[in-house]
Amino acid sequence: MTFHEMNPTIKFLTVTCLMFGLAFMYNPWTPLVVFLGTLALQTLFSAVSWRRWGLFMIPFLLTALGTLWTSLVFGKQTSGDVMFKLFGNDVTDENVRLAATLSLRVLAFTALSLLFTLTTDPKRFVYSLMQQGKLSPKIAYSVFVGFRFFPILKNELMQLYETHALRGVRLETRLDHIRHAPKLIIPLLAGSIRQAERIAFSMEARGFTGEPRATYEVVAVTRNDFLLASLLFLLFGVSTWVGVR
Amino acid sequence: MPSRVKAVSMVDAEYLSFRYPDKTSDVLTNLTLRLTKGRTLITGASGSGKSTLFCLMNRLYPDNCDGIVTGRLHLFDRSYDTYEAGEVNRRVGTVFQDPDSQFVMQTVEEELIFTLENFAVARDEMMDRVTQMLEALQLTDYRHRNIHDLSGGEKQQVAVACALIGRPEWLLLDEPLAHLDPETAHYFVRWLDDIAETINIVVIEHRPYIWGDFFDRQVKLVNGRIDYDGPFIVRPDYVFSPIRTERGKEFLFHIPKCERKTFHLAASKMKVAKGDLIAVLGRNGSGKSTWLRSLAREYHEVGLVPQSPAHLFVTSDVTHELSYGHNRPIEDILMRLGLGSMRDHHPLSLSHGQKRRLAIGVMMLSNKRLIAFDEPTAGQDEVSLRALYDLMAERVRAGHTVLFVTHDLSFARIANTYYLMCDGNLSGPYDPSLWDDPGLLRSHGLLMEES
Amino acid sequence: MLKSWKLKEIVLLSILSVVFAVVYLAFVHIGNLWAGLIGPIAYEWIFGIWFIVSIIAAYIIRRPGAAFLSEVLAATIEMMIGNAIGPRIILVGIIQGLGAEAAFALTGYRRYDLWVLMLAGFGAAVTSFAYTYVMGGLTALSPTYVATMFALRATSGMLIAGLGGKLLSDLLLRTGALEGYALARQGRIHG
Repeated sequence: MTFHEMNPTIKFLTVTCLMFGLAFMYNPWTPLVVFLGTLALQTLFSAVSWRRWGLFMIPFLLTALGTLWTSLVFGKQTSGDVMFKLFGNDVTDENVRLAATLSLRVLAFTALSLLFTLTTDPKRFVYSLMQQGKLSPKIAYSVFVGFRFFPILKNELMQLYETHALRGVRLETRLDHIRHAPKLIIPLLAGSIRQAERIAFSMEARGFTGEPRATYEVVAVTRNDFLLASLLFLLFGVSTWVGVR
Repeated sequence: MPSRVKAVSMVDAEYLSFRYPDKTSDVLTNLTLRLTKGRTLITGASGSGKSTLFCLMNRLYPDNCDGIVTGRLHLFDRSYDTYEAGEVNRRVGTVFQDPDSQFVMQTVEEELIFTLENFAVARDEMMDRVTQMLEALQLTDYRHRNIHDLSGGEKQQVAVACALIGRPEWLLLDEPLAHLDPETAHYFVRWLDDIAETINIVVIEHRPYIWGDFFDRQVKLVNGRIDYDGPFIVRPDYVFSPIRTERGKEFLFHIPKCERKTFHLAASKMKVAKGDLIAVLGRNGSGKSTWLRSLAREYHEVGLVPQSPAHLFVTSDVTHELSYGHNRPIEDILMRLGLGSMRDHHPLSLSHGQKRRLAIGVMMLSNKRLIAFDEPTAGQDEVSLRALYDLMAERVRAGHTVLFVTHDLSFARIANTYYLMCDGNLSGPYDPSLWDDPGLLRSHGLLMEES
Repeated sequence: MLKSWKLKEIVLLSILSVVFAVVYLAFVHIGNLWAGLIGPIAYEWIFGIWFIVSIIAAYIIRRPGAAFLSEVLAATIEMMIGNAIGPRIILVGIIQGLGAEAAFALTGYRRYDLWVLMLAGFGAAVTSFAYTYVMGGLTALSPTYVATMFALRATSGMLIAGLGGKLLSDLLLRTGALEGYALARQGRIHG
């Protein structure tokens, strides 16, 4: 029983529910418990590279810090004891509590998101959406096309940079590349749109009609999916209880 | 309905005309054509309507372009408009020209399964069908390969496999060789000949000579009308006469080596003189294009026209494109290249030929001494090849040096100096006597057995 | 709803979504750099970027659902190619897409002029801000600060997504790539 095997649609719904639930909890303990609990569950029920996890986490740590001090400085007037002054604002204990809640919430959101992202194969997710979520195959297979198109797009972009450099566009540093990027969007889009039409034609020429279909890849729903979902909901229950108390 | 028994025709058109919406003239006019069996070649210049006819046969049109059909068009003895989308495609498999835009999934196996799913093949039958198909086509090794990593020729083989796995009665191919080198193209034709014994085939092709005697019937379209419909006659490829010029002072280019993860381009030297017309030949993937880009990066006097000239354009109209980066007058060149009426158009909205002329204009105005083309003939019909020939001849006679990288052996005859590329190593110069050295040509994938 | 769509229109949506998923992802990183310094308001003035695919898709294809679908597809593909906030980004996509779609629905899918496109940018700003308000806990911030955030996001939505999306599509129209889509046909009818 692992999160990798868990049905992606059920996983998606569970994680989304938890995040919505968290949005209505205004105490620092609930997000903290969810954050720690998610880490624990992830350790128990998945094989995740913590290095990657850490790498993904860094930007959100920054966001959490930003949220922390924004809520301290621009927090609304609240009653309560003034704990200290920051940039001329009175910071009450209520302000501190809120700031801690919000920045911990960012961390809890991220942990939950990573639980999903790092254990879910995107292709399986789309298949599952088609099978359990009744997603139209027209859309599902267009997503596959889009996914496949990504490396083609990357090639195209590199070629554009290269030829433009030969035209005398200054492209020496990284910054030059970034500055020139907006100019590439039109040629990139124009080429991609023409390819989109050709791809659609060949899909149709291969008998693709977009009707609901049986696929070779079957993403099942098992008892374990509900067990894992229950564990996550249990975690939320516990965290709410801790928070309220 | 006629009561007498007759063979079922894949296409049966009578006085068929076709017009795109918002256009004033027909692409196809009063066409009468019946294809019942066999291997048919359809030829015609760009704009002759052959691609339109192709899309009517597999019923991508008229639905996908809202075109207007008049006259009779029956597919398998039923009017085209009685078919659901995708229905005809169970009996007609299609392979398109561009190897990069006809796949949906990532691996070969997934792609084959995608087709089987479209045809609602039972799940437990799928894997056997895939195995059989790959074995029959000798493609078993590719089963788990990522399509993106395959070469152009391999992609076209996979496209054929995807078309055939649906067990169609007909196979339609739209210029499937356009992006393949002669060796690969020749291999592909022989391979197709072997595997497609029981299937009827229609091929659109500008340059049928590589197909040898593959066909038994030929239909030629001119301006949307049938110009010839009869037995296939093997004709030699276009002939281009060499362009002769006076040689000027020599100078030497050093092209540095280039190391990529999977590919090593050795350092090379090239002697170039005014009036030289140089062809660099070699297989697909031998490093020609990488070498060319190294050359252009190293020397500012080299102006590179990439295979799709569209990549070159950095502004949003023809006038600005020509005056980009300098303040020399552009009017004269604009007129000489016949782009006068297009001055306010977006460079990307031009036709392929116009794009190439614009690219050359750009090179001329930025005072490039050497104009270098990457695969300029891929997918071009005879008219545009002649135009390209004239353009190159004019440049060389005006004292420029022109270089092109190609695997088009007929067109390569116009050059007066040759270099060969093999696995990242450049050799040369050779003079035109190179064409009399079969050993040398064969070792560079440039010779096919006469068939 | 999807019955009347041509496959090529849906594939176009998807391809547009890939291109803009890359753009979106780039701007997430730019936003993240700022956010550490000046807090969540860092994202506000560039927020319109994240609505732009809705406006472009609706303007080109002119069918009910184009604005919504393109935004959701872009979010999904963004997740597939490596946005760590995964499922949340899809949720955000759904919500932003609904906001933009609402503007087009208001006109009965008949008008696609600059004002409607800007309204769509505004609509996306409204729904996405409502989402941020709840999920980001903006109730904890002072009303003036929240109002500033919203004003910035709405302006950005109207200018970057609405106006920018129209300019970009019109430029694209000039390249001839949109032949065969509603925008090119409509353009011809109205001169």
